[in-house]
Amino acid sequence: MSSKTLTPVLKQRGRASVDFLTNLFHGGTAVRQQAEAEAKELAGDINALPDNLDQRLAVMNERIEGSRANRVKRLMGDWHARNHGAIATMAFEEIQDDVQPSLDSLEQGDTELHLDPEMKAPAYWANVDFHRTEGGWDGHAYAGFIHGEIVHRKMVDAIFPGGIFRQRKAVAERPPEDHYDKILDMGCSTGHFTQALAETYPDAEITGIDLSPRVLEHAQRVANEKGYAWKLYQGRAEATNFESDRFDLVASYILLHEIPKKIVKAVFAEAFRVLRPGGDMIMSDVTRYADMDKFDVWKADVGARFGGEPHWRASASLDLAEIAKEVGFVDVNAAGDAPFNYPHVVQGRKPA
Amino acid sequence: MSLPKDPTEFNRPSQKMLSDTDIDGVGRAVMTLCHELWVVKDRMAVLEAVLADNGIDAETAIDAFQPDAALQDRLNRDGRALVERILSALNGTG
Repeated sequence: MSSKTLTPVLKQRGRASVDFLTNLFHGGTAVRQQAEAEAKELAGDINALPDNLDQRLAVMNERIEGSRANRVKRLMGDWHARNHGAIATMAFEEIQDDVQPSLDSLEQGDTELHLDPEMKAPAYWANVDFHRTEGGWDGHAYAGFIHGEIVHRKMVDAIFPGGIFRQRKAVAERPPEDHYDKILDMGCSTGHFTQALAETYPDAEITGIDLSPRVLEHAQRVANEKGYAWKLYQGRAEATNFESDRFDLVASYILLHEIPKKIVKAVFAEAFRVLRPGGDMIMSDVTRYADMDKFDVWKADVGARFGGEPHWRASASLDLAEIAKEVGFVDVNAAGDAPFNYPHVVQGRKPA
Repeated sequence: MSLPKDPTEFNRPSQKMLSDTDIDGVGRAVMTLCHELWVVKDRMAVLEAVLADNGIDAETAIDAFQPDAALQDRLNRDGRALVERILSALNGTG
């Protein structure tokens, strides 16, 4: 990594290990397809599966137990879940001496970072190893770089249909206006969706909020690398402390499934409060369970249960459009993007 | 303790070493071996490429080496094939 750039150049062990994770995904395609076909066969009448998701999980577990392909698929998932974070961390630590000057220098720039050491982490977030990342988002001093630049840029982008960075940009381009003055990114994480917003609305003042200081530190580097002047705050999206009517666009990308049902509703209410009258809201999240059949819901639910996603089930079961309307948004529309209904995007406007 | 009738039974004693409950750990170990094996295979390929290029200071050169598109394609192909072979063995299809 040369000075003032965040693109990691991994050493051989780290690079090959990250490549292995993508090879595991692509090389596992045949087994996953076989597992899915067998599970579908063994599920019987999909519509007759239990409505209760715990019961459905138990019933399906029993029915697929005889399927070797499904057991191997479980093994692949388990290994990936246990190891991807550790592999990315190892890859980072191999290059840390090389990248440290760049990381340090990118903490200087026009982007402000306001951490709150007194903030009490909410119970729904504290000590949760989201995505099975050991120690959660703050589990390593450079967890933001590790997650944003190695896990996402080197691995997720290689296996995500169409590329996750391109999808962020596509979502950022969906709000109805060509120009916004003040944009808030709720749950801005490492700043990569924030960057997509900044690229789409180059004249806007951009603010981001997130619970994790480690990801915010990286968002600051991402912004400074590009010369942006964002304002980044450690805090809760559901209780931002920003004054009312401050922003004309409030956005979030794949945040809502990481928070419990009650907090999802509070986030929408907070978005409504901080938007000026006439301002736009766009929230994108994982595919709604209501948009899938019972078999696909079971698959998603298993992925969540064993992939470090404790809030996914409750959150994905919500009707986000209804919530948006309940808190006061108008002109609400919500739909999943083809071909997988991913992401599910809900948009609305605060009445003028 | 009496001696066995056939002392050679001690040569290759048969015992069940693992229980069924160990199978998940065995599976994880296989996957870990697969990972480690891939790292070595990848390193060998890079070593060959580096030596072919210049033959000096191979360790530093290997760590710094970034595969060009053709080598990366080959690595991806070989990596996926290795995964497929291991998974086929586990799945009973190989």
